[in-house]
Amino acid sequence: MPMATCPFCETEAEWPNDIIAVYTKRVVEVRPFNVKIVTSGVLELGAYTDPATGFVSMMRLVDATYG
Amino acid sequence: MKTIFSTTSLALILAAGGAAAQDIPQANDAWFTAGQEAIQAIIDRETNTGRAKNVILLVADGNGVGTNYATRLYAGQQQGKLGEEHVLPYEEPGYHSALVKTYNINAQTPDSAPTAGAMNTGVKQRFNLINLGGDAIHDDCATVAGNELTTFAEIVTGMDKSVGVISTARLTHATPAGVYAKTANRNWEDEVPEGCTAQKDIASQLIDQMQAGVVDLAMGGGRRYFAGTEVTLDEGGKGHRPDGANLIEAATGMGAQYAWNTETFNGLNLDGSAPVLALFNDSHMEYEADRAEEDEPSLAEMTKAAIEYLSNNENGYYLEIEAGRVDHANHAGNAKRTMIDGMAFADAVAMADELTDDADTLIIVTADHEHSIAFNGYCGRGTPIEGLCYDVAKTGEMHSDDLVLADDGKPYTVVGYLNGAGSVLTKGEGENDYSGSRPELTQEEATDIDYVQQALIPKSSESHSGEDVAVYAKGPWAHLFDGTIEQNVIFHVMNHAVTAE
Repeated sequence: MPMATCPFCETEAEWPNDIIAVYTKRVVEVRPFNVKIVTSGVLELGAYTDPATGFVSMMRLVDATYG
Repeated sequence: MKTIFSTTSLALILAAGGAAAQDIPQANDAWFTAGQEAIQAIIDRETNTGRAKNVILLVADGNGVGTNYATRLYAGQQQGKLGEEHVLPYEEPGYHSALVKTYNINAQTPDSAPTAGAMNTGVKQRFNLINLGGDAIHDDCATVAGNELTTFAEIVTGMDKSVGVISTARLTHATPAGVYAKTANRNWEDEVPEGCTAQKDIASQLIDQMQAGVVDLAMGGGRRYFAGTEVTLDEGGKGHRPDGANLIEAATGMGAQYAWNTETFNGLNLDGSAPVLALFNDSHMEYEADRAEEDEPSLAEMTKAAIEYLSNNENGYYLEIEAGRVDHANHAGNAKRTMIDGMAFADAVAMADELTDDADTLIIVTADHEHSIAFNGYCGRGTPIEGLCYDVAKTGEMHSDDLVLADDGKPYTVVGYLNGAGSVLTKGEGENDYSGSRPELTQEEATDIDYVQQALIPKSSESHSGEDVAVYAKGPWAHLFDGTIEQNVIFHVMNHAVTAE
């Protein structure tokens, strides 16, 4: 289900338990939250801490593109 | 000519007036006989003026008349019915009912804190406050002292009754907190502002009320608000309390039993000899649609355990049961999870009714407020309530196979929201540059469990509405629920029922 609130932006937001981190191949062009985007990439499993943001993910889509 | 016509009309009216109901052409129609049976059931309804030993208040958060309508149809359709004709357990003729005005002292659109407070103290309260009088100010700790109200839980504790509170939301969330907490801010779940000494945080107040012997059983979510940030919790998460206090250990240290999953829930001793604290999730319990039986009990299972536990007190009990996530799914604009949690609530009502005696137990079923949910038309009978609107068929009952199309040539769902994350307006280049058109939609997409309904006004979280909710009740003094009442009247029926001579 799309998040009604951005977990990164809202201190009160509940952290979703079905979240997946997506690392895109190119710089992201920001889209409104209520516009569906379809993305594809390479699935990576296992814990990873993003050195730039400290964000921990258990699974990721890397090298992702979207339309 | 005109005179003749009038005379003929009069003759026809007299003839119809003289015919007995059993002689009229529709007398054997199934709708006609069902209508006769319905009024007979109302005539047969008993008026119980005895004293209530037990009071059970069941609240589905955000389950106004509209949301409840959606759940009714969905529940019926899951049983293979068309849906519209379905009767939820609390809609049966044994229940008296009324409409409830839910506004707060200073809010046309209510929030769940003062609404729970109104039901638990008998007076309307201010937006975002719980169980403080009308002179208290939101977020102002200095206005707490002197404004604390007495709760129904405290009143019945004085009658040596037991008290239980159950929620699928966090136990520190507004509706369950209405049973035991007094706070100038509903969000002070595990901390209060620096320098605030007039009240404790909500989680601490629950443990204090357990220690004081007011609350005997509490089951729900919100585990992280009961332990410090350094504490690793039962399911691997971390505590959230900045003061580092471990309230779970404090509870068990004073003799309470603690459960955190289905297995430990099943291991609870329900003989009433030791208080119960059950925290099944770090935050809210799961939506019913996502709940795993081995992970968390259902609302009906918690209801069963609570009634078994509380029934050990020969003086009776007060139990508040909240289906907290009907509200959350509505906020997300996700009608399907709303309806599935609504069904779990209906199961809990049926369980409470089954395990109690109407002669001595007042059961009240209501909601705290409605949402900005709305329903499109004109859909044929049996249109799946969670999906697209099908046209009315000319013959038979079932809808036609044609989808109803809007003027933009696209189909639409029965359920929509006036605002929320599903807004069809999207942000453009400018700050206030919102525009849009409705996306194409298939039945497969619309009935997906994760589908977010289309909405009009863009908001990250869909809002409550001030529309009425219903109240249904059976047992001692349930017949006092009639007409259109203020929400705080619910307390007065409970209070009258437990004190009636």
